[in-house]
Amino acid sequence: MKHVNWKFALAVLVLVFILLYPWLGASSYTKHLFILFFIWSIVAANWNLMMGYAGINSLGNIGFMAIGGYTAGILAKSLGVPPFLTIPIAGIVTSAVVTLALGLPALRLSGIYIALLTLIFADTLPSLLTQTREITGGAMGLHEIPPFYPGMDKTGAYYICFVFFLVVLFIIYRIVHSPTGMAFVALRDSENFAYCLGVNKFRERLKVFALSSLLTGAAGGMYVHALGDISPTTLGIEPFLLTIAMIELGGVGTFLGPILGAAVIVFGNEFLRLAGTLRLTLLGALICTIILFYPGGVIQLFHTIEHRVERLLNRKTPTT
Amino acid sequence: MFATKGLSKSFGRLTALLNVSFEVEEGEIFGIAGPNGAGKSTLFNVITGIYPPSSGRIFFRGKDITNYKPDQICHLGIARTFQIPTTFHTLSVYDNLRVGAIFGARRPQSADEVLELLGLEAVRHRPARNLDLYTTKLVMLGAALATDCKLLMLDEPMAGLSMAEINQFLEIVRRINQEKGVTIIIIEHLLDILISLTKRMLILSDGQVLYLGDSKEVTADRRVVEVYLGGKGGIAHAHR
Repeated sequence: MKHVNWKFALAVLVLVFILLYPWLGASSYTKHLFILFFIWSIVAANWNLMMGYAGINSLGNIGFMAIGGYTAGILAKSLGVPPFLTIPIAGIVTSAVVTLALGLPALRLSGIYIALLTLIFADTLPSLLTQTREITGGAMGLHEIPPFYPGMDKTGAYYICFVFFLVVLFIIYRIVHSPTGMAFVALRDSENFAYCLGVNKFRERLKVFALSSLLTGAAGGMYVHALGDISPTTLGIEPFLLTIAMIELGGVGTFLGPILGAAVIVFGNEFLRLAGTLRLTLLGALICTIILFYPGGVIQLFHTIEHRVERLLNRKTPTT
Repeated sequence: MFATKGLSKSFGRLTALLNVSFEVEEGEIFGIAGPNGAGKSTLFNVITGIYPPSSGRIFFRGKDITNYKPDQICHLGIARTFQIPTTFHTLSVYDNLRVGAIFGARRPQSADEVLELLGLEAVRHRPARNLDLYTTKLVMLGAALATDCKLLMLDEPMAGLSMAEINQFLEIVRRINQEKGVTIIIIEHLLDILISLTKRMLILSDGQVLYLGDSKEVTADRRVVEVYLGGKGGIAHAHR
């Protein structure tokens, strides 16, 4: 009971802090960082759903986000569609494209070949964007995409993204703890055994692609309305590697891992801007250190601390 | 209840199974033996839909199930275990059974019934990766049973177990057969065990039927002795 309360209290404390943060003298800059954290946690958590839970080695999830972002951006900017519609549409369009273009062919592939297919998928998007300059803005990208509501300030965007963050994490939590989540893990652990126990591996695999891309595409929609622009640099190597780092660093295949990883990467990356050109080098060193001492990621570090605290509490109880 | 007719399977130029026909009756324990590489596991993989057969047909309860997918075959009531001890190693013992119960039987409570039947309550929350070989095999058997199968196919379930564990396992197999009325096909190297457990058996050699008939008479069969037992019952005795 003790450790449940302790963890629960910590989680509530963190959430209350995030909720009150704009009132505690947050600068526009730190609110911006939190918005990035909310969105990238969602991208990382959905990527983890595919890679960590379902064991599908997708390397294309940044592409899912870009499709969602561009869909929402174009709809809002060129057609004047309001954001409460563009975001779900972004999710649905992304899910449809990804499920058809990647999910269906991926049913016939496994392991590294899925990684290659998804990587190529994401890699073709920048050239596709420059070919469709009139609509997508080409290499320049889309700018001045309308915010969630007219006259929105950083605090407004902060709260909208925070709510989205909570809703999506709740959905992922429910998926992971449902029979569907169990099927994902079962197929990852032993595909043929799961198949012979009645798990329809094709349907469950398609579900992974559809769900993960739906929520990632919606996150792309949130991104453009919160920040106002998107360009092919989003599909560059740095966001790609940083998001993978969030998952690996936080703890692959765990619920909280990618969120912790996103926190470390988003805030660490910004903090390290102080170091100038050494930023990525130091970030790399940080990742190496954590992976070296805690191969299970930050979540493993948390578990270690948890055990220490529990032992401490247990040691004290008999003496008092 | 179950039959194959002229079942063949080739991988390229390699013929793994050739014209294998046999029938299993409702409620019996049917044995399959044969030297390494005889095609026993391939036969299981073809029957359960992991590989499609090159030719031949498979029937279950009067229905032609050739080319059915593994999950469909499971839903019809055929479950299996694997030669290599296989579980969902990150899931708990209970969740391993639940995969079979929810997806195979579509009846969640069958996981609880199997947990009790196999006496796995003590380890129900333990991750499957932290189990000894015997318990791992019980969990694999349990997940298959939780699908509410009518026919259970066991691929060398006793390999690597101690004599005491083998006897325990055999007891469980008999109970599943008698109390739950599950028909069983079992692959086993040790002929003595198979003779005591089954009434009829099939011996495969080079993918073909070497012997099909009464288990008691298998050691008297000239060809079995020649090909499988190696003269004076060599392999069977060596295993003892």
